[in-house]
Amino acid sequence: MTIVYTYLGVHLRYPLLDEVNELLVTSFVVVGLLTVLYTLPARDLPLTFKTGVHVVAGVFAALAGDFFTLLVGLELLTFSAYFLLVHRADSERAAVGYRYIGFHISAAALFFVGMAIQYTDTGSLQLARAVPSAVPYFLAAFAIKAVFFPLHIWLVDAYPRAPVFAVPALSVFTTKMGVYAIARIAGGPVVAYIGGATAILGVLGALRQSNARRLLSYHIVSQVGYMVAGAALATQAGIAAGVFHAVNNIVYKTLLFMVAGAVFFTVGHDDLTRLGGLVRRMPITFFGSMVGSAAIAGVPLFAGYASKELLKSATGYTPLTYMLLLAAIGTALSFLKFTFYMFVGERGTTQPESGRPDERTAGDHTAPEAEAAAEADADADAGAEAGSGRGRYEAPWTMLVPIGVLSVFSILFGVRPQLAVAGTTYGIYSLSSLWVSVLPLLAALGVWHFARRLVKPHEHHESALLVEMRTIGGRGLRALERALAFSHQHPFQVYLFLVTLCFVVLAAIAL
Amino acid sequence: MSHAPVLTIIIPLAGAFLITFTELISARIRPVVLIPVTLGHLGAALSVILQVVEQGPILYTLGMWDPPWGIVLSIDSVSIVFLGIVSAGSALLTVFAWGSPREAGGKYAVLRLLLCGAMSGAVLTGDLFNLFVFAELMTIAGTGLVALKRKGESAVAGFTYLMFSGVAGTFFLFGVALLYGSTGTLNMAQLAQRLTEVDPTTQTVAFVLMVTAFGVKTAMVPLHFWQPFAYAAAGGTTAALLSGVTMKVNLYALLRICYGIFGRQAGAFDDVLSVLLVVGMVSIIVGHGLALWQDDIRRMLAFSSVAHVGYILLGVAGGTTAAVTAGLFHAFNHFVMKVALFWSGRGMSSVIGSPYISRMNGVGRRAPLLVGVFFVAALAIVGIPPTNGFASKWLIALSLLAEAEIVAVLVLMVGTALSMMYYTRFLSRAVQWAPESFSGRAVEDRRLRAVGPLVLLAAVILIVGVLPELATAFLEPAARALLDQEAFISNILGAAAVQ
Repeated sequence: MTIVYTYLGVHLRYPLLDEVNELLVTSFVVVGLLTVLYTLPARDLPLTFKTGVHVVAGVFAALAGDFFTLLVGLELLTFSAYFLLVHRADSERAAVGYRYIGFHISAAALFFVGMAIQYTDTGSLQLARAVPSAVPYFLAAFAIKAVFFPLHIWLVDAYPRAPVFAVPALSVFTTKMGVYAIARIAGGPVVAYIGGATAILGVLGALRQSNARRLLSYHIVSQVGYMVAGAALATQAGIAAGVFHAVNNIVYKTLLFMVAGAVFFTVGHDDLTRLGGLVRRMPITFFGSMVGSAAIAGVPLFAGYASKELLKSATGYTPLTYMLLLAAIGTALSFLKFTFYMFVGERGTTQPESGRPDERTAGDHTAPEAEAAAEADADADAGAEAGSGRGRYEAPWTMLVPIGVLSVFSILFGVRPQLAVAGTTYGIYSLSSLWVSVLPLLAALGVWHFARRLVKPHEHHESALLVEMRTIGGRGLRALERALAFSHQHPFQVYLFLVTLCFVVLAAIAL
Repeated sequence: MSHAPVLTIIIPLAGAFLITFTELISARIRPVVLIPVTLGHLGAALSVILQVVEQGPILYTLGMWDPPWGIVLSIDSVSIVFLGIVSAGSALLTVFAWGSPREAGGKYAVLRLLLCGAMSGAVLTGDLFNLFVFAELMTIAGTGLVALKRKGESAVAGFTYLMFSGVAGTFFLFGVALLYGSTGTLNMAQLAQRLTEVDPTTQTVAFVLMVTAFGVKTAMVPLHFWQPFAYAAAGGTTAALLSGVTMKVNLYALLRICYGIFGRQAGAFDDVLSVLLVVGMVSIIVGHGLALWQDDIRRMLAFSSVAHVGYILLGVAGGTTAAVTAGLFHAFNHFVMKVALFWSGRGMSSVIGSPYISRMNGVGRRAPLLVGVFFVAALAIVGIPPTNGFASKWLIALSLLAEAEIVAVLVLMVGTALSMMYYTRFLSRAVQWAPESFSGRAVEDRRLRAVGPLVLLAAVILIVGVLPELATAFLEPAARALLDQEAFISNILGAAAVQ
């Protein structure tokens, strides 16, 4: 079923579903549904509804067959994400939403310019490789969407501060659409190397984080770098590998965000300096965390291994490959840190009072009756071993089901990659491939063993660079404001004189 | 000969006249006059529009004096676009002002009927001096509307408005006088014909005088300084009319003078157009840049109007059919969007009891419908698909690219980003969770008279956004008629005059 539509003389067809995006769309639908399910413990129907809208927007965008529909889809994603970000927001979160819109409207504006040039030059808006004069605009737009360093700041600014239940949904769509658009429209070797650099820089940022969601946010940056490295090669293998990695990343990154959210929900915070020893209390969540970490680190037999292997064969052992291997060390290391300090480590200092979710910290206000119900539930859960305060307080099933399903996929795509990318052989499990992939893991273990203090969670301060950039930006804007406001503070005789002056100047030009 | 054209002018003027007397007797009689006048104007305008669409341009000779001796109303596909804006704007204002306690008074009704009559006259007339008279009438009615609130600031703003419009009027009058002195006629078509006999310097000076005059009236940068004062003092209800409708009528006058009277034969034509293009770019940046920091929502929207004059200029100053179509389309869209923005902003101010954005935290929970309409209109004015604002901006960008004006397209995009920022700044406050304590009425007015016009405008925004051909079907002939100087002359003087 195809919808054919004419908009201002432009012929549009919707939807487009081919070998490039069918896997992506499928994963958007499946993971999207799971993220909606995941919001249910919040007992906040508007939040669930907004998440649903975001998912629909993502699927709509991924099915776009022309630039125009793609722009509409990206805008829908931007605004549904905005409304998720400012859901029950205080001033601080509202400001986050403001900055988010700033980045994404700039991306949309650049996309618009690219689209206009593309249409002027080709007379068509079919999704295709961009004409050379439009490429800079498209690339700048996708650099924002696909978090090229240093444009990643919108992501690490927004996602850690978003409502906990909504983060998994937020993390799925926007960046992957950026990668997908690069693959379809504006790839190139230089872009691939920028992706490789972003993979390394993102992982370095992640290693410095002590907050679970901040750490995961930096990992989105890094992982998107991987995808770009593949997708921007614009070879069939590269695009397939990039998209496969995107799909895998959707699966395991969403899984990890859900784990972090489940811990947040039950414990009340996700600060790695204060967590630990949750393995017995939340065994299913721990299992999910293990699977997710293994998958993202590229341990053989897990999803990440398969797609990274395809990426490597697509990049063909160029310097790019080694960049990705370097990033893999950091990835493995930071997920050792994630799982260890969250679930294993020494016992955290903060234990939940009767296992009751502390929702106020998240900025989520719950209606009184819902809170009472949550309390009753939590009491029932904690009742089993409430006496010692050391019992299980696993997350509710609406969180565990998505975690379980995504864990299954994280393993399935590793064991049977043919399910995702047809024609993949078990050649990816050749001895040499295994050896190359295990090397970064071994390196990570080495660092972990000998120099753990480098990655140990610590009191976190906001990155000086970010503070600096915000100050400089603010100062510049204020100067501009003063200049513009000053020009509007004179008595009106001055402006009447100005009118005459304008006439004289205009006359001088015209004569 | 149908008398509908002249009725569109007479009905509102007569209504204004009548209401001054009914107010002496009782304010209760006012609807008896106001409703028939509004419907009558709407009906007359509609019949004129239909007649032009079906039969082509009309010439209405007042008192059966043939041109060039008598004054004529010359109505072609350009006029009907602007006549439609005037009559729709006036009719919507009648409904909206009825639901708005401060604007429901008799004086207000008189002044805005005067303004409505003057605007109808300005878009229909085929005589340059007649245009001047209607422009002055618009100034007088507009000054009254701005100063009506009887506060210190509105008196100052009214005076500023009067001074600037007065200076603009003087410039215009000098231009008219120069042309009259050198051609001996005031009929637009005859002027256009005899212009070749005029010495080029005189021609250029007259042209530039008129362009400056309407530059002030449409508030192009750097002639815009009166506008934020005037709009803030006038209040949202009136500012919507001044920005949405009056500005468009002044724009029409500017376009008629540029393309109808002077045309490509005039020596300064290309220079003026390229200056207008640059002025458009500067207006976009300065207008949006200033709107970014306004706390008063009316001032913010006023500066946004400055910027949108820039968008319209980027279209209409292009000089090709595609460009002018795009510019006219944006003019129409700006009417719809800006009226919706001003009125929903007006509603929110009365919910909060203050027009300041910094006090609007959480207004979305008290006035979800108003914030919803504001959101839709803001998306449209920023140019997010699928709204009408996107469609016109897309056409403007394409027409600019066809002329290889990539810088102008980039300016357009910087403007888009800036404008999204200040609408989001408002929206981020509006959607916040914790509402502040409000001094206003604290719930939105859900009566049909207050909400109906807003919902209608939001619907137009979305419908035209999805089906832009509905609008461009009217606007493309309008653009062609605007650029075709010979058709304009032959409509007034007869085909024989164009040889």
